[in-house]
Amino acid sequence: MAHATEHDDHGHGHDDGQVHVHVHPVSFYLKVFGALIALTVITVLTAKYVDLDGIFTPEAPAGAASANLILAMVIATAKASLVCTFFMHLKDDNRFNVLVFLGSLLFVGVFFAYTMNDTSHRNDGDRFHGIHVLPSSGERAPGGVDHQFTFEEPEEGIERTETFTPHGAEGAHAAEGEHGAEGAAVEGAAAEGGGH
Amino acid sequence: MAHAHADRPAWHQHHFHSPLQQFESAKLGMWLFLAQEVLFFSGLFVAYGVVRLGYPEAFAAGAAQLNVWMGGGNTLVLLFSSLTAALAVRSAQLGERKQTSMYLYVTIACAFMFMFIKYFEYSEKFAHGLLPGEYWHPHLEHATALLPAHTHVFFGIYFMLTGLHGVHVLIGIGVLAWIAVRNNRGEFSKDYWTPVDLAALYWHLVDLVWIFLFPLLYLI
Repeated sequence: MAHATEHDDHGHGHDDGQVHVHVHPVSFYLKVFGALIALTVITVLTAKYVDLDGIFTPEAPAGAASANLILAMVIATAKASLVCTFFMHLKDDNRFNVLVFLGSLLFVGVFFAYTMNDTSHRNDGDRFHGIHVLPSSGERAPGGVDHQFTFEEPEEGIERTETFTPHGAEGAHAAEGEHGAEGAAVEGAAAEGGGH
Repeated sequence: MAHAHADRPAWHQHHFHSPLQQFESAKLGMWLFLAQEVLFFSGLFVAYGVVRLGYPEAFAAGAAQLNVWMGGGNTLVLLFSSLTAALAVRSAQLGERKQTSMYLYVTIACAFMFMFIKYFEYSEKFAHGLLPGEYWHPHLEHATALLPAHTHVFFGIYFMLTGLHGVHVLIGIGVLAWIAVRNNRGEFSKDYWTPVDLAALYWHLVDLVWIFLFPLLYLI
């Protein structure tokens, strides 16, 4: 832009070292303001009275698919773009400033994406609990923790080995075994240990 | 301080070769600061995302306690103040000193209006005990639905986000007032209005943050 030479003040081309800006009329700013108000009204009304998730997936409970959230964010981004481009004069500005601002948004995007992806996959463990099959025969290989969670179904085609329960004794004795173990700790523990 | 020379006005600093270079440097510096401010707030926005993912019912219940009309009113106030800030810059570009000051005063008044509405919002929260963290002791006499146990988590996020934004509004009041004082002293003209431009850029950023805060906290 400004050259570091002596030609600056001689009106060399249009680069005379002076600041030239295009001054917009008041109506220009009023139009942008009007658009911002309209978008605000739309976002409030759609959030309060329109259930987008109900339109796309009628059987899902309201708010389940977060379509309302996406719409609200799209509208917010539109409003922000209007403010940045016209009120903050990015449209008439040095393109590098645009790059700086968009760059910051890019890094916020990276921050958001990586963090949300990590958080939403917390506690994702090995779904198969270490159960493997022998490649030669397809039979259950030794090891792995069998399903001790009652809500999980066993994998299809994989045989269960001996069921492991935390306190060892069969169902009927489980409660008694616990209380008994407290009273006669050594014997109870030895018996439970022997049962495995 | 700045002093005039025969060949350069007082505001043209010595280490800049031309007014254009000075203007562009100032603008770039301000945009770099705004990029930092965006990243500054992004920490809390990501916290919002993570916490909301973990406690969706708490967020739904907490958001239902917020007053959409007060939040929406604050949105309109800030959008209007952004308009007047942009018009203040325009007046400064035209060298209209009185008009510039007037627009700056209106912007500052809108900022006070924002804090005023926010004061009522916060008072309502305090009165009902809807406070963050360990200060959570709800006593909503007229509530119909039950509150999830983790609803205080929402209010932690709410107070941090709106509180930090409110601090930025207060700082903005100070910055705009200082620029108005400098304008009244005659420091700006149609050749030099950069500080007005930069102050308005800060104010627009405060508005930008609220544009995203409002739907995330109040609407969804």
